[in-house]
Amino acid sequence: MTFSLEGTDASIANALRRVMIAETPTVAIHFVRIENNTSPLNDEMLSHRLGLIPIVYRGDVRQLNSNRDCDCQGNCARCSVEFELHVRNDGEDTIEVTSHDLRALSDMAVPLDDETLPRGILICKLGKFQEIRLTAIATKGVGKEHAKWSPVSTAVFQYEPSIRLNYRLLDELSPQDRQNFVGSCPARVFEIQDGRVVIPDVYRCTYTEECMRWAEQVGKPDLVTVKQLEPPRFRFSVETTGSLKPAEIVQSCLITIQEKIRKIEDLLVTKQEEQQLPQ
Amino acid sequence: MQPPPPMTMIPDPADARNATFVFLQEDHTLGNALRYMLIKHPKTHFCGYSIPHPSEAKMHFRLQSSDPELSAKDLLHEGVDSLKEMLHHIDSEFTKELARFQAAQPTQTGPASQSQSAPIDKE
Repeated sequence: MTFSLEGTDASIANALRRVMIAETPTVAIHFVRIENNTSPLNDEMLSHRLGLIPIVYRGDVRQLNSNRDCDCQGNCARCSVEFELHVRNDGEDTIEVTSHDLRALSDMAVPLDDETLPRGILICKLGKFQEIRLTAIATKGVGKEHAKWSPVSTAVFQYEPSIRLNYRLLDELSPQDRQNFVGSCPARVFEIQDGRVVIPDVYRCTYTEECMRWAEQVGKPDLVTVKQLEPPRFRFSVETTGSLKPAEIVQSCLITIQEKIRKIEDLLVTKQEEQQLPQ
Repeated sequence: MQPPPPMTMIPDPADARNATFVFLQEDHTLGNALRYMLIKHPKTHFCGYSIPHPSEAKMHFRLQSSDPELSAKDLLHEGVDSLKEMLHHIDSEFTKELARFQAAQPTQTGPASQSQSAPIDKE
């Protein structure tokens, strides 16, 4: 998903980005009890791979208790989701164990099932008579503890470039020079349409300033100027791992920041009454 | 054992306008955003933050107010309030724009939405 943010500063944009990556809660497999593992992967490797599978939680992840703070002993439905994996290869050919074999013991969550991944996510391969039998417990967490809980594969923002072309000077160039000008940009920001230089997508610009350097070399420094749009506008691009939808991530991240602020505000208000902050 | 408060204040005993606030479990995410909001405040004389040590989850936030009537604590409160308002605004604008975008979208052809938590579709 892409969206743009304007009327604010990079510090706010960066706070959004940082919270999306590191502080938006999701569910991921955190405990694994291995009953039998005769696969080529050792237990630790297998558990690690299970942890990285995106888990789609049906319901609001934010309402789920943190396993650490839950008042249950061990784990319960309020703080975790259990999964089961039992695959044994009785055939001659090697088989694949994928996220499709991971069976949820409640209907609150499922491993990511996406039409772009019809075969599921590969966990391990099993040779003849090899077997994996285990139960796994998925808990809530955030990306700053372990990247497996991060709901995004990329969350980035970009300053919107402001590129000004001087068409009077451009018209003075020979068609070959115009072609050279267009070719000067390594990011291919410019194109020629009907003999005119156009910018199909301003966001291709990576601020290399090669076009300005080219213009200077041919003695026309006013041909083009590239700078950041003032006041800045940011284009966010959020790509998810599949555990949450992109819009859910943005909304959840906004809630997280607002909660942070509320925590401080509450403290400031109560301290106001006591007239003293703890020192 | 009671958990430590998320924020403590190191006041300047001589001057209520100056103080350093120590935030626990916070980093650049909050520090820089709050710094930006307070630097725009007309009564801020100085505002800055630092993370004294990378392996300690602490953020020091230094604030000095230019108005003798306004203590650093109250100034921080105003900064926090304006940051809250800004996020609230971003939140409502995002929700509005998302609804507008979804209304303009032709009906989805893919499989039904997997999550039931919110009526949100992939872009």
